[in-house]
Amino acid sequence: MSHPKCLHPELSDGIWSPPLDVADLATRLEAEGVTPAVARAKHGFADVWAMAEAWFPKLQAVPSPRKKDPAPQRKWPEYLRGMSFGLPLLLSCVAMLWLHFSLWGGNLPTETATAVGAGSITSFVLTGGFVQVMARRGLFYLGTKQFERCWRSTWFWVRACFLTNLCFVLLFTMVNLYFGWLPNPLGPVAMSFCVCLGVYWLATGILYMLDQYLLVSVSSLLGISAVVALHTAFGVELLPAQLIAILFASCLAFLMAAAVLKKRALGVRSVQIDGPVNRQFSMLWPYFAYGTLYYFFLFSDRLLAWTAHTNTASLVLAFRGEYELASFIGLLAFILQAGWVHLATARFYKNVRLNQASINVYDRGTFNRNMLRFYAWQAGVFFPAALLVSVSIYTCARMLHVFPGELVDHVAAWALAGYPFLVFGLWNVSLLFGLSRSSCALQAIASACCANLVTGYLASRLGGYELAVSGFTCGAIVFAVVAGRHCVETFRRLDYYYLAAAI
Amino acid sequence: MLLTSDGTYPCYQGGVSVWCDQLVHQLSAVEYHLFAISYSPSHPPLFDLPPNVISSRILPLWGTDQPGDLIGPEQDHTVRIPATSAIVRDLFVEPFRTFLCSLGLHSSPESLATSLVRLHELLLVYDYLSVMKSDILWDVFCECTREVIPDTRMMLEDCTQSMRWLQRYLALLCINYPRTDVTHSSMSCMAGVPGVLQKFRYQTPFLLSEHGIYLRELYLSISRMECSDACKRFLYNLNSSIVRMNYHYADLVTSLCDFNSRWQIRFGVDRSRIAVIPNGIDAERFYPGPPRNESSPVVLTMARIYPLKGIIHLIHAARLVLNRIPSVRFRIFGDVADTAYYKECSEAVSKLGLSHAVEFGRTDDSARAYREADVFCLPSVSEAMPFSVLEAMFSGCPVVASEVGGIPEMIEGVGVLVTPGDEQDLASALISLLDGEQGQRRRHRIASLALSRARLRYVQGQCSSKFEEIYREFSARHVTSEVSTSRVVRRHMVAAP
Repeated sequence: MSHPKCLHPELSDGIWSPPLDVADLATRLEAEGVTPAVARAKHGFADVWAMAEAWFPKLQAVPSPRKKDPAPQRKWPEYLRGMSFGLPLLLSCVAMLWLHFSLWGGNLPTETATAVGAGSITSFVLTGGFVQVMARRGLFYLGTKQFERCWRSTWFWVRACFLTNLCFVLLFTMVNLYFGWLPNPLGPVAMSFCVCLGVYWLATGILYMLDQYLLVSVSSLLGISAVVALHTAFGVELLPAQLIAILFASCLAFLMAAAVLKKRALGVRSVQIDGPVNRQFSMLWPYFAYGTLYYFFLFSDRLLAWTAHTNTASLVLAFRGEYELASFIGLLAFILQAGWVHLATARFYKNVRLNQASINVYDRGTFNRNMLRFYAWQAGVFFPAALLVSVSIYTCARMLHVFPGELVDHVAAWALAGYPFLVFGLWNVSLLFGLSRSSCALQAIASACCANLVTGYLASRLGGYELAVSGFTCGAIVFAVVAGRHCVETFRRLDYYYLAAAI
Repeated sequence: MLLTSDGTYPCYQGGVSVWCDQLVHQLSAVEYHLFAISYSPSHPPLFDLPPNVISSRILPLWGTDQPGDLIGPEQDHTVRIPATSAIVRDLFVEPFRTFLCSLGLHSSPESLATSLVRLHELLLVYDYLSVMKSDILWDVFCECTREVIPDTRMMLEDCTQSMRWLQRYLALLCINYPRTDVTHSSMSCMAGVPGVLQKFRYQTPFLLSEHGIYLRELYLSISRMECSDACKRFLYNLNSSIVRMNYHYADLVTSLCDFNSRWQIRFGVDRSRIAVIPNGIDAERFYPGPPRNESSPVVLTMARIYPLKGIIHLIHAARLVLNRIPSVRFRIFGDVADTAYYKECSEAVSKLGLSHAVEFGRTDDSARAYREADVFCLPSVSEAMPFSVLEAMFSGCPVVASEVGGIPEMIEGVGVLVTPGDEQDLASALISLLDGEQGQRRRHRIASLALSRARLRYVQGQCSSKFEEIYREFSARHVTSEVSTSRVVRRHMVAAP
């Protein structure tokens, strides 16, 4: 006579758990077709309840199957995944070195380069906040499988950002007409790049949100190819070719993002219903402010360098090609070091889960101490490795005679010294955001901006323009210190913050 | 009336939703306030609410930015006072601790209800999020786990998960429910909580209608959950304590069938407070069609696609049936309620080579679908009193169904009962009705017997008129001796620093 499967844990498909009580076992028996008649005729019990009562003690003694350990984390794939975030940047650097132009920028007359640079920087600062908020909302909806809401929310932020950019362009054009900062055609050039690149950042922002890092690189590569085709094969001027290619790459990125999102949303019932607007605003503004300030931080040293000692220049801004070259070299270190952020963040969550699963609730202090040790260990491993990367890049560049002069050498050295701190700060900020401590992240970037501006301004005005880079390094150190301090504070009560992050 | 639901009306399809919809439409003279718990804000109402539903509030448990966000035009915009640490410590710790200690299996429903009412009163004044996000309540929760689950080792992970659930579930305490003559809960557990709260606040009579048995379904779903034993135990203790509290405070518990009332009695409901009121069907919509004489007999299943409906067993049985009668076609109509399960079923169809014979879909004309079927089959592993079986009986469609819940009471002698999960038994039953002239004769005989029984016992109108009677009786004896919330809250506020 065969017994129901619920009486034989070994026959279940791995998710067996002992019955909670007799009623639970009776329910399981009924679900397997043990009616009172079956209990009597086949199993010799008065009814299902009698059968459950007889079997319950035996099953209680059987332990639940041990939970499978999570698959071991592979270091290199995680690292490369993190690094792929910077792949479009790398493509851009390679194109610049090989073709002498990229999706934007290139060997241009100083005044034109200034306009393009100003437009690019403005696009980053204007879209940074929107992309942060869009990603924050989108990731929440993706995590809760509300794909239609994700779709609608994303387009809402794209539209909002695009309109903001247009308003800015209008305002700038009017002000520029009065003050004449960028005379024709430089003003329109700067604003064209601002709008087009803004659209591109939004499109790639959606792909990053959807975890499609490689598609970002694909769009970037196709964009650069379009510039090559238009400029080299069809003889279109470089600037129009770049603008067309940026819009082409943006369309591609939007289409790819739409396809990915639509595919995920297939068959999922959904409707647009959002919470109260005031709550949304209070929840999202730190992310917006962080996104804007982060890009402001990244470019403020350049702006300081471009505006220092411009007495003899025809414009209030003067593009500094050597400073830009040095920044490119620094970016190489950033790309290599940024892979670690992804790896260390993945490890953090894995460690949290492992520790949470193995530590008794009455021993929360041990959990917090373990995670603090993990944090210290990660920091201890990262800094020497990151410094090694920076030093290696600097040494290689010197050996290969990449530095055309002392100025580039100095700026690159300062930038390379600053990037490990920036990357470490970014890791801390990603943890703080993950634990819903957005105000701490905001405080860190705001402090960094202040340090950058004050130091960079003083140094570039008292010394050469190239000393603006010291602002970046100083700001990166402040960023790392402030974010790190908040992280340590958070880790001291990580059990609570980990819980609170979900609410 | 305050009509409450959880995971059913008006956002989801299913028996309870159909029942609620029938009730509010048929009792058009009754004014309803609707309070529904849904799973996600992305699940909009599927049913058109009649004009006598004068307000509706939907509380999504998951998927909102923060717990307690309501959706729909009736959002609760009341601004609550943010709770400081001192307020949480002085006002919330004690009732929260009492609440947790009342989740033990042997604790009293009175202490659970008192603590919930106290928290409810406070949460009408103080902001829910600032209270539930407090580290003080987290510390209390961790300290109390021994009381909640005395015999299970609780890891930090289990505690975190359990507290996250609680933060979501308790959001229903911050809603200011309208004062009505009766609270009618369409199921027990969370949907029944407003009934208890209103009973304490305004002495409002509490009517509890159970369709399935909540705890039975909870057992089945918990046993399949992929989480630790401690989490399962916590979830069970939380839900079962609330169900017992519902049973304790309900003035009347209605059940669809004797099978369910037996379970309710086992879970502590007094026999005298149980009334069996079966579902009813619109006989003008569901009626037999002309005799069918198709070369490809059709087996119809009307059920949402999720594990309790046993669709996978039907697919395996279909293979056996087709081996004997290759011309049979299987139509499985219903919304996909569990995408993973649907995928499993679709894969089984392909793997067993049944793509030509098994069709998944949905229909807006279910009455026609029954008339165009030769056999109706419901292979569920758990049921109460499924509408689909009644509709098939009214439509003259012979029924093959699992011997679970109230199904035997409905079709014993006028349909074919099979052992749940037994694919061989299910296939034999289907073959016996589909094979040759003998099968056809048998089909006609049981369909005619089922139709007679259905017209006698399950006509629509019988069900709603019984509820109308209960409403009238409860309203008449509703004494409005309100326990003043504002007084209690004022007392708390004076005590606060």
